[in-house]
Amino acid sequence: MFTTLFSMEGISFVLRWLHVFFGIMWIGHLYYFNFTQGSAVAQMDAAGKSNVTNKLLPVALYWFRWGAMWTMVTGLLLFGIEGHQQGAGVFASSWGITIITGMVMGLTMWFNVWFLIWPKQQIVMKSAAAVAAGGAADPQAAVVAPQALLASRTNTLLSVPMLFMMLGARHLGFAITPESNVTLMWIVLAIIWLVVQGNAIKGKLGPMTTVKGVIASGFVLTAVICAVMGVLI
Amino acid sequence: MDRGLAIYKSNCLACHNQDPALDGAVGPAIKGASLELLEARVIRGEYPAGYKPKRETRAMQQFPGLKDEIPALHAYLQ
Repeated sequence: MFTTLFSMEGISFVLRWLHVFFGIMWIGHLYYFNFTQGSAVAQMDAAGKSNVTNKLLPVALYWFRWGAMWTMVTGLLLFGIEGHQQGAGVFASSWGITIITGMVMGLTMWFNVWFLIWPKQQIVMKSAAAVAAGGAADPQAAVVAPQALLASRTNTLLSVPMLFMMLGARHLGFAITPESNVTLMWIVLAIIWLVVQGNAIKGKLGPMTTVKGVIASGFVLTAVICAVMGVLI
Repeated sequence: MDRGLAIYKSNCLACHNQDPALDGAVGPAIKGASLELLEARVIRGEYPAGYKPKRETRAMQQFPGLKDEIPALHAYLQ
């Protein structure tokens, strides 16, 4: 046990364990916000909504954003340990293609947490605190709240194919041959990423408006990415 | 590039060493692997009868899509 645990293989395993631990902390809160809190808060009166925003949200967002941070850190360390010996060849290998596709989605989600959702939620929480103290609401809060929701829904959308790719890297071996069109595959995947993340920054909820819609969209996006890989690899 | 080397680089390097004669981060040295062993491990995820594994982790995933590439991979690994 200890011989294995303190080998390079063991260090990779511990990092993977921590990566999943922090990932559950992060994505668990993401699903709580999107699947549970939204519809529950919609049924609450003003006092209930104030309690959620002032007392529950700061705690939940703490574990949410730091879960995202440590998921990212442990994930990058793991990738460095496992991927370094392949060099640039990692972009054209079976493991590399799946893990990098999942990583790009995970890193995008981390960016959305720290640079879209968290700054906007701070404005919303400060405004709610001012109202609870008898002051006036910040008009900016009404502008940024839907933007934070769009980024959060996008992260929920991305979480479905992200998990597929991360698990697939080690459990769904697909063959790469000299005939595989890896470059074109990366170009098509980059276009898909630009469309999804562009929409997260300046777009619309569309089918992601409802919980069922965002879950279904996640499965559709997974199928589209698999189809691109299946045709071009 | 030699086809076997290309197959090795694209599918095996994530776990095995760049030099197949050396141990990798996850997978052991596989230089000289027999055709029988490669078919069993890569396609079916098994070991040939009576074969003693170099590591006990049994972490290797199967690559059934490489069925037609085993002869090239075998030639490269000799």
